[in-house]
Amino acid sequence: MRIRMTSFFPDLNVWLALSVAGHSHSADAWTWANLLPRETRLIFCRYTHIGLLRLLTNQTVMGEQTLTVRKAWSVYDRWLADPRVDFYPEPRNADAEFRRVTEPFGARPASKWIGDAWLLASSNGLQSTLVTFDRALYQQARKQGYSVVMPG
Amino acid sequence: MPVRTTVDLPDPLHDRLRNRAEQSGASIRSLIVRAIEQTYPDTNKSGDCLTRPLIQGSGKLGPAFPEDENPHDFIFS
Repeated sequence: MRIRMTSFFPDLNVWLALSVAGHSHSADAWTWANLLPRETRLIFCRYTHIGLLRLLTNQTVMGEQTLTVRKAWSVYDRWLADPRVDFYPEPRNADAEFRRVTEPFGARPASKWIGDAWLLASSNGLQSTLVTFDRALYQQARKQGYSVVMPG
Repeated sequence: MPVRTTVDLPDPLHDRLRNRAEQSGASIRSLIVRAIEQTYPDTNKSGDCLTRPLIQGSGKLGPAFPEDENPHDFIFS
């Protein structure tokens, strides 16, 4: 898939920061997002889509601000109505890219890197820039030559 | 109004498409249209850009609310 416009791929935590005012990185996320021109693309993939719904409706995560499933869908729908935001299906080369991203960790036990690797692989497969607040993910992405930004 | 077009597909791809259509009961045309719609979603939206978080509540967030890292364990659990 070839995408010519500037595209960003917020990871799950960035979508949460953009969605919930109480997130410690919400201000940084919005300072960044409000600078983006209307022509920019902010990409949801299936993982960040399901993940956002899951987190917004989980009491251990959202506490007193836990949403119903219906309200979580309305948050997602409002995101999709934003002209900068789109859902993109899994890129065709995602599997090969996923294997490549996990290769440096091949000799280690499974870790949270598996999930991060999928996000990074998806971002790269969609020719977009990963957006994250995770310093370790940011550094690993840069080390492997991927396009990545950390707002703030 | 639909536009008629002709595209040369590689044989293996056409075989896959025909098999998928037979298995799913969908027409080849509908499979192609859906694939194009999914690959190149409509980007001509006229709505407003969001400028602030949608969830402005003041209630206490949960103990597992993330700060920096992606909370994958909640998604896979």
